[in-house]
Amino acid sequence: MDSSTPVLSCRSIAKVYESNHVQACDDISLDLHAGEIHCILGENGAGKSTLMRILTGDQTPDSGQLYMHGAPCSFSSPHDSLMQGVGMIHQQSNCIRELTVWENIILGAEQCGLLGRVGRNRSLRAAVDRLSSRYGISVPYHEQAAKLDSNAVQTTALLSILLRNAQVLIFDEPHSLFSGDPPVSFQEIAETLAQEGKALAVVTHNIAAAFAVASRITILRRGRSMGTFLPESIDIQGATRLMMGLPPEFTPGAPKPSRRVHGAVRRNPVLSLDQVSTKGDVDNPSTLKSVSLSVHPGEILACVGIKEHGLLTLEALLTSFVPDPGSTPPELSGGAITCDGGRTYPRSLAEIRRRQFAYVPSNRLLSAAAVYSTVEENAVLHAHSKLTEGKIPGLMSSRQVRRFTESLIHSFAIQGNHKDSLLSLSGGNIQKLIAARELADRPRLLIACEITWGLDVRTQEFLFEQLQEIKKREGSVLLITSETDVALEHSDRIAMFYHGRLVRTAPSADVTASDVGEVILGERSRL
Amino acid sequence: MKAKAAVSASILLVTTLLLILLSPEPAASVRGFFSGPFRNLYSFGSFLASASLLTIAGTGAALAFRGGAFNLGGEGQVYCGAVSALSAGLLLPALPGNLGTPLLLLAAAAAGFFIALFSGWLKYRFSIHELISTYLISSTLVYICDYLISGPLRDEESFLIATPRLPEVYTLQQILPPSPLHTGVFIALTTALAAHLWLNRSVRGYRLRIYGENPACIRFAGIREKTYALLPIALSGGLYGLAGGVALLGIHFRGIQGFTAGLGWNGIAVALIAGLSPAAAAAAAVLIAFIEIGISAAMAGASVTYDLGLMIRGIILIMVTMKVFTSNRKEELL
Amino acid sequence: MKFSGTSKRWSAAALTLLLVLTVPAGIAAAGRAEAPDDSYRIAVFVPGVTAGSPIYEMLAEGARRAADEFDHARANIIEGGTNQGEWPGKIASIAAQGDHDLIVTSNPAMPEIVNEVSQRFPDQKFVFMDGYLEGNPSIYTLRYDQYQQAYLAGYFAGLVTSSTMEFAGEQLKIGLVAGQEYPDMNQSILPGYREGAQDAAPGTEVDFRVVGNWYDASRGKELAREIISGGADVLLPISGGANYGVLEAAIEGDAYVIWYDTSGYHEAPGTVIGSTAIMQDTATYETVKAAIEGSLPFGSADKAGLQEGMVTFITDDPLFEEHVPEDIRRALISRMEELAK
Repeated sequence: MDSSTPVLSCRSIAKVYESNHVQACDDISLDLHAGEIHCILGENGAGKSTLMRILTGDQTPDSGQLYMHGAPCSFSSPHDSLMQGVGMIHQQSNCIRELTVWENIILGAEQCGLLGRVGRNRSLRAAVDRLSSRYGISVPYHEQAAKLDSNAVQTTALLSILLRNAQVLIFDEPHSLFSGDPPVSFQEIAETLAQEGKALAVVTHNIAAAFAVASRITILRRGRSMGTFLPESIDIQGATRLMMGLPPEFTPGAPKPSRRVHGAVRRNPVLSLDQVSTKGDVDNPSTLKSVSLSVHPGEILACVGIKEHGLLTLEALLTSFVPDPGSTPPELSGGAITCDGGRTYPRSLAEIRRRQFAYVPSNRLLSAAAVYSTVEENAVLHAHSKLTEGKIPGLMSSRQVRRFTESLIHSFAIQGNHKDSLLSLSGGNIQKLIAARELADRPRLLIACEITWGLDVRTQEFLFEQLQEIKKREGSVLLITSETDVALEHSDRIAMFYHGRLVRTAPSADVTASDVGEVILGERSRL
Repeated sequence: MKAKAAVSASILLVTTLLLILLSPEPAASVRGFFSGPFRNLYSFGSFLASASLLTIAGTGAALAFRGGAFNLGGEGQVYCGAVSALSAGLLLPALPGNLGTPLLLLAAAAAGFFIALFSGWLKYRFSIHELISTYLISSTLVYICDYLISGPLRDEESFLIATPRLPEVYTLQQILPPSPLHTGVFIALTTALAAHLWLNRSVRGYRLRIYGENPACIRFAGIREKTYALLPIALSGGLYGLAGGVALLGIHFRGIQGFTAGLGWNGIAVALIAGLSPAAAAAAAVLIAFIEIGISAAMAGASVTYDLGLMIRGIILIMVTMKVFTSNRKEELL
Repeated sequence: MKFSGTSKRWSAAALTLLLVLTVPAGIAAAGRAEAPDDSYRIAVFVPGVTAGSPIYEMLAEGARRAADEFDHARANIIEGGTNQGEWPGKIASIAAQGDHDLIVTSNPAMPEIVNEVSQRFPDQKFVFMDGYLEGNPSIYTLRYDQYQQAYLAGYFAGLVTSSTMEFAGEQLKIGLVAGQEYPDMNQSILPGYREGAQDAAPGTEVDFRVVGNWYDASRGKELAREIISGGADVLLPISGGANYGVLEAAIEGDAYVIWYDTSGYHEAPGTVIGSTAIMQDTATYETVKAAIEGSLPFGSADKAGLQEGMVTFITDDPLFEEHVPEDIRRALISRMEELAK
């Protein structure tokens, strides 16, 4: 293959969304060469997702042209682009939840041109097994896709696309790990794929991760390309400035707040777990085993680890909430959970909220948002019953609803109108709204799960400022996150989970990222 | 709006073409269809009367859809509503009209409410999808109502399979004689407006809408889920029942076998055309009623056979439920 | 994307406006269309569907034939569909339209429906075939002598059950399957059938069953089987679509069937061995013709039977001659001649 001709490229792509007149892409050109890892950086709403949708045939550009191997081409649908060798691994699962993992992998694979049902399955299985061992990744074929964790979902999607022999792979906000035994890091897989001559586009707003893998970096801002760079020719700060359109002297992130000094006199903990174990197989890493921790007023406690090593269980246990109506929250098999110094911890979300505890769930787009409803309707989810008219009981006042929504929009700098459909907001703004809604009632305890997921640096910083506010007024935050560096930077204490056990708790200032990494990846870690 | 105008125009065009192609007397048929409801006072009144029933049924269908439930049992719920009002009127001791009429309508609504509530409960308790349970229960109830009308309640002196007439005190006031227009038209308007207000402004209406879109959201907010799993479908059944009651007290005054047939399915068509909005249901009902009356006028004017009329009506209904007329919310549901 | 509330409101408003504007225009236009002319328009309201229903085909045919004889007359066939609940509204809407001088229909249930419609539209003239209503000055009814027709069927059944024909059993027992019970059935048809059988073969019993509707063929078959296993060998089904269930049971159970109202010999040669008939086409033709000529006595109710030639037993069908022994045929024909006098 002529290495100077890009596998896939686009020229002068422009796209305006009719529904809200947003210019999502404006004159963007991009080349993807064989063997390169091309990172595309940008804040939420910079046009990354739209550009990728255009590259995979999910959207048609208003103007501009796509080229495959130098020849003009067009994609009528994601399926069409996949058939022509361009596949995408989405940020949010596009697995079919009702099918098994295996069925998800081979869905549509009859296009591979293999004959006969049994023969097809057998040879497909061999092909998938080959891919699986080549990259050191594996998924439980017979599991139902709905039961997979996010790493496995991403792995399933990757296998499915590799099976179709795609030459261009587009990763949208990839998770850092692919499932396997042991799990494989994204960086490792990306480098292997690039060495094999595939062209990789990685869409992300995690600048550090991008710099670690990228062979080239393109930065988008407000639908325009700010340029394509070699990682040597630009540093993280420079890239951040371009992404955010900030003046050169600015450094991202507020100055680190001074850590609270833990004095000898402490008030009763808001939340306390004493030797808590959950029902379930002891060998299952997600079963909690004898976990003790407490969250005090004016403190941010971060629980870190691999999601499936107890973090998801902890979240469901503390909120009695699982989004899937078919499953039930985990049950205690030992120990006790108390709140406010000895009271029994409530076992329903309604009561939890009544205690002025708030909750940002990790799967918030699934469970905490009604995406076809308006911003307003979503904003008042908790407050609606108080926004009533005086005269007629049970009738909401549209003026109050609007005022309430606008106060959230204003205080969290959400870009969107109160009557917009939630779907028309960018992912970051939806998340801000979800957080804003939880914080509106000045909670005494916020259980915030994977709060940085899918957010750009600026939004993350903004949310952490809000957490600091809670702390200032002697409220508490329980962060449950798989992002170690975020946890280290923004918490007072850090609780490290491995295999359902709380292995170590330490003041965040006293440990380094590699200390934490060693603990949460266990003995088998290759780090 | 443009797309809608274009599709409206093409519907009219296709209807005209169908009538020209299929009718033995094209000119008379086309004239009949378009002048349908306006030929005389009678047809205008019966047009509005039919639109009233469709409005109530359509509002019911819309409430279920908005709450995320599929109520395909409209036929049975309407029929049962009518038959329970009928039974109450025939079997209970006489009541004064100003008390009796509301009571009979209440009986009708209650019948539909509880029938649909049962399907909602089956869904909530046993995960039996209401799509299938409402339909099956309704089909069974249609036979039971048929039996009641042709058996225990039947007027032995009649050549029709019909019951005796209800006492006149119970019937709704006629307002445009000789046409069948009756005060049910006000009941219909009030129902649609009240449902609209309730759905869009009340606390419970808000919760119902959110539940319809994402039940997890309601649980996330710590609101009792069961209420909203049962309420939309039960309310929808109640309105279907009410539609049956109004059909009985306003138009037929007696039970005739199958006398409410079609109202359930047409209610769904109305709801879909109305984009699942109760207030718009009144406008959509007017459209469907126009088609109904127009087709029968086209048939009356020009020897168009009954089956052909049904066919043309079907084609028009398919066209008006086309995507441009309905919201994407419906797509999300279906 | 959510449906835009504004455009919804606009379309509702536009629709309302359209209505408000077109109502007066429409009514005015319709008024103009009703300008008097000297044509005579007849609406034939078929309470059901014409195709596949000989009685209604004859009705339409008779009315058409009458209209064709006059230059200024024309007949318009309007089908009402099978839902009884819709008939009152439909017939009222034709009456309200006011552009038909006469509405002709047929079905015993229609007078009951129309009497009420007629009070709202007193100027509209109606003719009912096969129905009875006396004293409404806008309505003329002609009914067929059901007693006589059933009597002929019963007489023939009596002859057959007491004969030595192949399937004629030991017992003197015959069957009648009705769609439902209604006054004519209880007061004319059943007694006529019973007395006809008694006159032919004294002591003959009638096993009478009711389907409960006019379409359930499997229920019809079930009832017919019970009748046959009870010893009856001749069945008279008067149950609409359920007749075919009765016929099937008779073929399987080796029994005979008598068809009612229309010729049924070809339905199942050898099983259907007799057929009574009403001359609905002739009757309709003559009645409508009188109406056009202005000589029909509206307000009165007539009855036509064997004497008038409107009710008969079809004896000239080759299948009848083939499957029925000569002595039975002769006995039936001589009885008919006696009655016609």
